[in-house]
Amino acid sequence: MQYIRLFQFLFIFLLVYSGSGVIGATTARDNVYRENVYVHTDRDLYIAGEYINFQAFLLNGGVGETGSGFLYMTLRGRHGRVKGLTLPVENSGVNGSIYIPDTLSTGYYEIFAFTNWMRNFGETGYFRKPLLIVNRFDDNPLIEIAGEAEAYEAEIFAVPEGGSLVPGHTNNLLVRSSAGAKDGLRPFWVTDQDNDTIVSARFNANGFSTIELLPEADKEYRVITGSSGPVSLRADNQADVSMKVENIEGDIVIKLQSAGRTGEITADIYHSGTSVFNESVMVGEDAAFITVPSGDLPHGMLRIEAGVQMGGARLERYWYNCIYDSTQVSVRTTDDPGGTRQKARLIIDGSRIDGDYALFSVSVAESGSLGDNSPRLDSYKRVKEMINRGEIYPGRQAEIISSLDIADLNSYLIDHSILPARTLRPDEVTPEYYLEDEELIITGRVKDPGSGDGMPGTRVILNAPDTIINIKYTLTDDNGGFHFVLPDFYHQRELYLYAGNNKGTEYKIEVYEKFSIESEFRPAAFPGLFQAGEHIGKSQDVVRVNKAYGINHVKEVQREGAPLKKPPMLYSAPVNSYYTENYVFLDSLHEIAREVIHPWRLRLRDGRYESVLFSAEDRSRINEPPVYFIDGILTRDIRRLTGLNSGNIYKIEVHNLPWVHGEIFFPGVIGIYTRGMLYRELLADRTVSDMISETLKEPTVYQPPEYGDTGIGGIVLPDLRQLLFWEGGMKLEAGRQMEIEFYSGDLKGEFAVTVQGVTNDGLPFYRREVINID
Amino acid sequence: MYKCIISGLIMLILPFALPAAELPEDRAQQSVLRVEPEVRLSGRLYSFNMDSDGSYYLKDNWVKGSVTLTNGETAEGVLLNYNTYLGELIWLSEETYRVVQVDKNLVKQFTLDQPGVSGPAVFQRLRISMPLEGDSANIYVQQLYKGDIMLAVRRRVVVTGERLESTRGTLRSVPRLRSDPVYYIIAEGSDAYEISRLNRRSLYSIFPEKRREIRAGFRDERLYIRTEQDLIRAVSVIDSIL
Repeated sequence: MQYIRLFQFLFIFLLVYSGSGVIGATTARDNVYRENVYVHTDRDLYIAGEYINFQAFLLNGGVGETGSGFLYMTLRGRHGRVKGLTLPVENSGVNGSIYIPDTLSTGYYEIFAFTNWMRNFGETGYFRKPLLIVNRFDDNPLIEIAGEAEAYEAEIFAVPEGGSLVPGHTNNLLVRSSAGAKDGLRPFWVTDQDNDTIVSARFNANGFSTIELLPEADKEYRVITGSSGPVSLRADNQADVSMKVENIEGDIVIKLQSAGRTGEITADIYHSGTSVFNESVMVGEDAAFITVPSGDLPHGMLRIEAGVQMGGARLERYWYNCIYDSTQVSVRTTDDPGGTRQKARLIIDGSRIDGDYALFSVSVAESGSLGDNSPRLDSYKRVKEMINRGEIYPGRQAEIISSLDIADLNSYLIDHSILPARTLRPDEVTPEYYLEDEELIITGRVKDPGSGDGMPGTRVILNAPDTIINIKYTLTDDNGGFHFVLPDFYHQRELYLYAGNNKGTEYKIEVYEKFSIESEFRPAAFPGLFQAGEHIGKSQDVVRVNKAYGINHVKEVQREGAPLKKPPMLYSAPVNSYYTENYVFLDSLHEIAREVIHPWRLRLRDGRYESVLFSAEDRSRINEPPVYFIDGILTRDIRRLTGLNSGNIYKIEVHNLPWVHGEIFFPGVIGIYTRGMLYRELLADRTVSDMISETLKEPTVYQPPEYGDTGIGGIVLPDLRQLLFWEGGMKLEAGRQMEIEFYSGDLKGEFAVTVQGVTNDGLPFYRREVINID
Repeated sequence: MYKCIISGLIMLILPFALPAAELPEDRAQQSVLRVEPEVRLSGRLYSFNMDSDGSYYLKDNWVKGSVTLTNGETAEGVLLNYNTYLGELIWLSEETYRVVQVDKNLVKQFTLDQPGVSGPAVFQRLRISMPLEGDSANIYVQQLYKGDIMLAVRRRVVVTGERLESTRGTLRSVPRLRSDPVYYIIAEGSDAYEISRLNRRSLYSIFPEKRREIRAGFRDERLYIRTEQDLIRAVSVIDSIL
């Protein structure tokens, strides 16, 4: 019996402390590296023909210093992809610009940003930002936009804070539309049963608002909007305690009020199901307050419950407690421009940076071009943390919350039906996409041309057209899949892929497109759009004028850095090179081989070409025919090349040695280099990927004009900038200040200064100030 | 008996009721799918075979090593040897069993493991001028000392004579090989200086402006240069003086 007890004890001991047994196991997703991207664009409303200036931030949410070295960005409209960009990441970010083609039609568009690694977690994890783009030639752009907007039916929710509408109390009531931003800025009313208007208010840009309502017992109230039927409200006569929660100077203050009954009320605060605070107060005629410093509570989602100890309804609400200082960086204007073409100064103050430095971007743009429900970096990062903890659903709710500051978020959380009933369990993830930390990777599959099945164990060769023979190869996996790591030599080049057998059969190769977005296109909502017609018309005029004068403030920057790496070469130098200009003109490759290239015999016999090389080592015949490269690209088929002559060939390299590259044996090599890039025509049926070369972007800068103190500067061109200043990739050391100067243009009105970024410790910040040009 | 059954049930249920342990951070670090570039070596099929007295291979057997190419990529864990007669790097492909003479102009550096010795032997490709030929040549040299200046040696064998051998009625010549290393001093950004003899005077002639200090340094170290090890010590003394 003693042995049985000892055995039980040992068994339990081993199970509890085992790091790798059942208890020690975690889901695959828990310990898989997480990564997110946020993109700050200078504006949200653009005219076709302008540039979208952006700064992308790579928000590393994982362990250690792992991070992607490349970012993908795609601009998509209703009819598909407009642009795709491949962007090298430096210092956890990248700044650049996207040119909006002049012919792009008016409508809603989306920017997606993601890394190759993020593809493992689905498109809901990608950064998505809606934009509105208007064609400058559209006379009635609002009609175009209205036509694109989807018809919708909204459901209106009126939720009292705590869950019960208490008669005789001033209740804090959240009114929200299920349509979100589509009902943004829409007015609504609360009427009583006599149809008298009790409250008149307006949704915010995200389609919700909090109001105060003092209901009477036994009376019915209705919430009326224009987008749905009225919603009835009635006070809960059984409810006798109301709750209101606020953040007052860093303290969470819970106000509890009873309907005349004196008694003890207990408030409990829970975090991840664990009680973290508990206090009781006596309530009577006056309200009672429970105050707890937010720093004394855990960071993240809290559940606050209150009620009488015995019986009675329990009040409940959720509250997001943000304990880190989100004012890492502050912004103030020292010199407001005041008038047109005047200098303005901004001070960016990093004295409160909690870390070593902050990386950020600054935009000064006309307020009319900014949407009120655009995602903010601080809110976006918060949303990602909430998703990681399973506290909210990814998707539309997350998108709404990513534009809310803390105060608005906590208002929104009054209706906790938006939250999942239980903490979401993360899906198991088995990564299949690689982390592109130092080099780009292209991925694809080799298929049997007949059946379409994947072909395992097949060699795939990659070349790029050049004046040297460069070569990479790999073998396909069990599913016929392959990948190539691409050094920067390949970035600006078309990539030619070949997979075939020794008999000349070529297999079908599919290269996976990185920019395709599978999720359905969703036209966004720009609250207040139909009041912005005048601003849109003005913006169209601005671009027309700028185009007429050839004014463009966005310039490409030559990237400084290490020289391109040399490619993997087949050989350092051929045994011999023959330049056709050194010989008489010859009509065919066959004649050139016969007259000029002595180690090479090329004969046409019975309709087939026989090609033989004689070794440079001992002049013996090399048993198999050589392998051919045309402009650096492999082909096994000599028939493609026999029509060439001295006019279109400028050089032939002959490498008549039995040669090895990795596992591949080359029984000699003939490299033919043409004038005029004939490889495109000769190899027109080959698999080519220009995904990288077409999409890799150089950084750009925004260079606005400067006028000097006189405000004239001798410049006679109109200055109709709606973007007064833009700069991304800025760095500020902790404790320091930075001064930014810029000049106003000829446009008057309100301009918004937006500064957002992240410290090296990963703390985000967002600041917005307004300046006026009179 | 009932107690045993209950205990057994508890033991079965307990693992699922207790909270999961955290993974150590290094294991979490590994949860990223990375791919390393595949590095391939290129060269001609190697067919050199010479009967000789004395071996022209640096190592008696294939050894593991690495080859760094001029494009910066490194092939690790490959089987290598060095032919001191030809001055060429030889590679045995474990996948195809082909023996390949690696294209010298694609090689920046290679290493050969030395079991029992700390650290591999490191060789680099060096371009030296050959004034008599009016040309220059690429050679491999082994790094013996590396500081602000480097001491390197070209491992080579030379034919010192031959003996005649009769095999099945045929007379053939069998060369006698002798190791004949050539030492070089290489300063950053300048040519390689050949050390003509293993003595102090040859080193003074390379650094004439520092002759006195070098001589004093050698004297302090009681250094007489007769062997390769002596030469290494001598160069380290010179490096500390410069």
